[in-house]
Amino acid sequence: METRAQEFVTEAREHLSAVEQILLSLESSRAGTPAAADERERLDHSLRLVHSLKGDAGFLGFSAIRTLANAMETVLEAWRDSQIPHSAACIETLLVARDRLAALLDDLEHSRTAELGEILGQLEAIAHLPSETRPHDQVRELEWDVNLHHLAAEHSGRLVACLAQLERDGVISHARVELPPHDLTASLPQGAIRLHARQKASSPLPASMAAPRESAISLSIDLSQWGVPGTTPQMSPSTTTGALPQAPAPSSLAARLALLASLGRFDQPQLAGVTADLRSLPAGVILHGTLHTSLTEEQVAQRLGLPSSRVPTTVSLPAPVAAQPSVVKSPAAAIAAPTDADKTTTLRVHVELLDRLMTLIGELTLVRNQSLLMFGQEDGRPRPILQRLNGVTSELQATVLRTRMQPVGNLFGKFPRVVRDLGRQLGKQVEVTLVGRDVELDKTILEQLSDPLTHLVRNSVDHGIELPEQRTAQGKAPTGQITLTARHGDGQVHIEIRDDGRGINPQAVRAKALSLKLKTEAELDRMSQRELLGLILLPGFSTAGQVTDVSGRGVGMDVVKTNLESLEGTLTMDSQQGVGTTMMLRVPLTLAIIPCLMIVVEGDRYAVPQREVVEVVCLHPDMPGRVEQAFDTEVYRLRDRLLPIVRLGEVLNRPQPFSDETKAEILRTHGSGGSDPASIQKTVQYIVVVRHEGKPYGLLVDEVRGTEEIVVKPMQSTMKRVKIFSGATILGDGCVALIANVAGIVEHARVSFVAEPVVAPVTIVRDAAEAHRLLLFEHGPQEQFALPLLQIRRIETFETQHIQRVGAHEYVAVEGVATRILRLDQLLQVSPCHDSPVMHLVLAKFAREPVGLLISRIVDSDSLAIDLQPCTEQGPGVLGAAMVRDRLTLFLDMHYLLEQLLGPGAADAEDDIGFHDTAAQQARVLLIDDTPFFREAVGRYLTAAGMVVTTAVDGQDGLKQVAAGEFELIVCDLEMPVLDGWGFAQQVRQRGFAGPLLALSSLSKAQHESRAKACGFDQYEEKLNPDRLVRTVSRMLAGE
Amino acid sequence: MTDSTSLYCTFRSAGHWFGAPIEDVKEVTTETACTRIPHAPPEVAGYVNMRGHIFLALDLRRLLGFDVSRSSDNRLVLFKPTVGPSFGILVDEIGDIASVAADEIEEFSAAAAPLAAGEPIRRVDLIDKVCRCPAELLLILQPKKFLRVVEQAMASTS
Repeated sequence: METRAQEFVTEAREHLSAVEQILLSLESSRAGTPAAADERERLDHSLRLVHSLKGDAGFLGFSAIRTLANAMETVLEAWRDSQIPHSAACIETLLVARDRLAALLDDLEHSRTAELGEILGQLEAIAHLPSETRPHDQVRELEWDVNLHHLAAEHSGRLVACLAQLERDGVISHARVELPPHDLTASLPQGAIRLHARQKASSPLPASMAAPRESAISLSIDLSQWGVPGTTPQMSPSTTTGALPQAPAPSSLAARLALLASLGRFDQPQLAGVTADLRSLPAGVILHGTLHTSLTEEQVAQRLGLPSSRVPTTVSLPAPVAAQPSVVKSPAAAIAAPTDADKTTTLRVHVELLDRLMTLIGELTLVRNQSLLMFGQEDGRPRPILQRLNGVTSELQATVLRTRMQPVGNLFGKFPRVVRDLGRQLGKQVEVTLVGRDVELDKTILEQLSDPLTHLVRNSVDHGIELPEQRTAQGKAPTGQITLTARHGDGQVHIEIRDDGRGINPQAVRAKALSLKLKTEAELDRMSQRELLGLILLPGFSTAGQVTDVSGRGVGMDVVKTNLESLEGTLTMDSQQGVGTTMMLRVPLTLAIIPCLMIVVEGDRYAVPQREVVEVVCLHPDMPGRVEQAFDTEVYRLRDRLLPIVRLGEVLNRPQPFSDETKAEILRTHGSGGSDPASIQKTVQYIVVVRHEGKPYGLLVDEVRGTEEIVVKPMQSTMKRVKIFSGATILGDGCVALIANVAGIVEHARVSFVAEPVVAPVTIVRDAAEAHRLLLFEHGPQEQFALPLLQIRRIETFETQHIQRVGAHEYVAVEGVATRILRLDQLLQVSPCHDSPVMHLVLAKFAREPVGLLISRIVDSDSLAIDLQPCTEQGPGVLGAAMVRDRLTLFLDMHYLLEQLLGPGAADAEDDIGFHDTAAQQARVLLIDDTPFFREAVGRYLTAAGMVVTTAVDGQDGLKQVAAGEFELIVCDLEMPVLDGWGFAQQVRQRGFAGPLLALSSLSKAQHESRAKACGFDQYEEKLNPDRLVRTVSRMLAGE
Repeated sequence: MTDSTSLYCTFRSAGHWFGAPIEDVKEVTTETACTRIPHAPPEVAGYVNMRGHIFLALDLRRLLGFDVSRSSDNRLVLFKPTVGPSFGILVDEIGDIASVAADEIEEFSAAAAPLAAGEPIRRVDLIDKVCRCPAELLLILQPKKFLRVVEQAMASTS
């Protein structure tokens, strides 16, 4: 009984959805060209559906459902038999009744006691409406498309006289004429006019009215295969199976079109598949359209020289729905037809059974693999058999997967109703077009797609489509169009919702984002239109969006996005103001089988879903490129971007989310300490670059085994707490492998470092070795500061309660050493730092006594080339300012700050050779360095020491400067583009420069000094200590 | 229960003779390739594949607090509890089906633990009953409590 009821519900739901579609199609056909016979057919079909529903309900004892279905049947019957007129009220009531039925089916248990009085009353009223005015059997509601010119010819050109005549004859009553807006004083409108009237069935029609009723025939004609009219012989059954034998002469196209026009009115002509010019009529050009004619389809086909209309290749549906094997006159019939056909060819199967089948096939696959192993070694003969087993198993698996697939049409089908209801409610006219209903998707995905898609469609109607008068004012058709398209692409299904509404105003989005403080003005200024639109998808944007309706969209868009992401899908959008909005969804075909990258960590295999993988990088000990450290995180330089590295082995071995101590420990274990080659990895390793929330991360793994299509099994419920895995799978050899959950892994590793895309005007230094890594941080809430990493020993985290005061000075113990605290707001005109319980201390590298710069937040560390602008208002403590990641960033002069804090000579002084050595005074010095930051900083120190500094950006530029002017000393960087320091030294010496040449580089002196000297440098200094540099330069100038 | 006998599926681990109600046992197998689950508590041996289904396998030695260094666990007993998911336990040796008369069964108490032959049992709460069979004590386990132990272990770590 239980299963019988369940079956009944499933079937009844299908019936009701078909009934709904028919009712909607009847409603829309009202506005188009109705064909009573066709309408009758559709009504008949819905009647059958409701009838069978009623029967089943009665059999199972669901009395309320039976009663309601019966009432609906009565109305449908009366309508079909033309006892009641085709009216909007009738359709509306039937739709409401249908909804009630659907609700009853949802809650079968309480259906028997449901209160149906009101709806039953309404149906009753509809069914008996005309009986009060006229006896049923004598009246028919008729509609004609009449040619008034033709009609009026008999009545001296006066419409009124014509109608009066008809009334007097007593055959027609309640005549109504629908006229297009037209000035009737001048003349009658051209073309067909619709005349509605009631007619006594027995009365003869006047000759002028009795014109044969036109029907609408949908045509799709392949022009290249369209036979020449008159020359084509009558179709014989043998030729109806395909295209016509002979190709027509191109010149006859016009003649054929003229013939077509002579048969009736040809509506909405469309040419599809035109790829070449039409002079030579290419193959595959299809002419679509609707022909209004009094002829039958057979006649039309014959006259046009088309193959018989039963041939699906030439006559099919206007919409790009799968071609039906018969001529389909209207969309409603298209819906009805497959349902009939389905009854004989389909079978209802429980999903559980399919899942079971899937599991069994998995098992079969394992047996196959084992057999392959066993037999393969012993005997050559069973091989062919095994190969067949192999093939059959694979095919079986693919077939069973397909059983889970359902056409998108099942989901799309509900939207015409959704749009219609919402459109009415809002007073909007909207038409829905569905394309690609036969595209198939996994059942699970289809079900979960329903809510997001409904939301988007409702949004389109609600916010996208304008009111008819607004549309007309903008020169658009009063009826808005919403198109839902599904298609395959890149192994995914693309679903598109396009409307021709008002679009989204990016400026309104911008204003709202600003008012919600989601983004700063500067950030917004940099955003493209598309990026601005993307803001709608931010959480937070939506919740506030319910209050105001500035942007037009955005209510719960983040929810839609999240839903889609849970399906492994994506959402993008495109909108043009005034033209419309398109939402593009991409979802995988199935969740059950996903392509994965198989990796090995510490001997165990894991699967990483392919969609999360961006690329794989091989780390070979003999090749350049290795994992480096940046504060508490390891990074890899991947094409000028710093990619945070997560060691998967460490993640797997540490069940606790990483703390700062854990991260420090990992760094110590794997730390290379910079350039020490001894600690560099000896074996080949791989970095699997994955994407999480749009940002790349690198998973360091031992081995990459290639890709595999795996069947996903969920984690056992007890193991759901293990966040680093999303499921498990059985591999070909029967072993279980876990599926990595990238989000969980990244969160577990607590990667704080984020490699953000760097935006202009900050460009990335091409030469990685010469990249000047900067620490970006905040002190007060307002400013962002930068310091070169070279000047930083390390960063300590400490608790502010441990700060001790001695007079005006503050100290904190760092590893037992009293460290003086440097507060930027005491030395510079910057906002003060608000102490929080835990803060960071940037320990300066070259200070006479331990000094720590107090900072409130580490923003990031990155390698950047900076366009440094002088920043005079800040005075000497700031070298300059530059835009870094859209923020004005002050570049600190650590040397100056230390001097201010500790007094002159604060930087580690070895001896007392002063800055103002006489030899240095007015000395002309050429400074060659490709990094603006260092050019500025070093230039400043040298200028401060009294020298006249000229700068050059690379060796080549340097040679030019040397040729142009005289220099007493040259300070040159080593690693530079165009011409490097070594090359420069050789060339400048060859050209006869005899003065002192100083190499200044961030490369280690120990390793590179000898080479530099061989090239012609006199001295070598590391880019560390400005004081030392100035002293060395002074000494060299003095001839020491 | 008074005049009937109960059937128990028996197995050995760490010198003890254990049993579980036969209606709770789905199957026993000697083929166990366990896949370690990182971040799972030590009681979890990993995932095993049993004819296309993936089951969680627990390590009985760790569950009961035995010495794991002497482990020779390679047999699997798969349970199908009346509620909750199926899971397996790794044991040393699969035994026979034991038929025990009702009057031989008594409630297990911690005091009875030392009477058993093998290593000392720490998690006595996992043992339901004890059967005084002629040859040896048969300890009846409560499989339904096993997953809860794992859940608690997971909750305490996260």
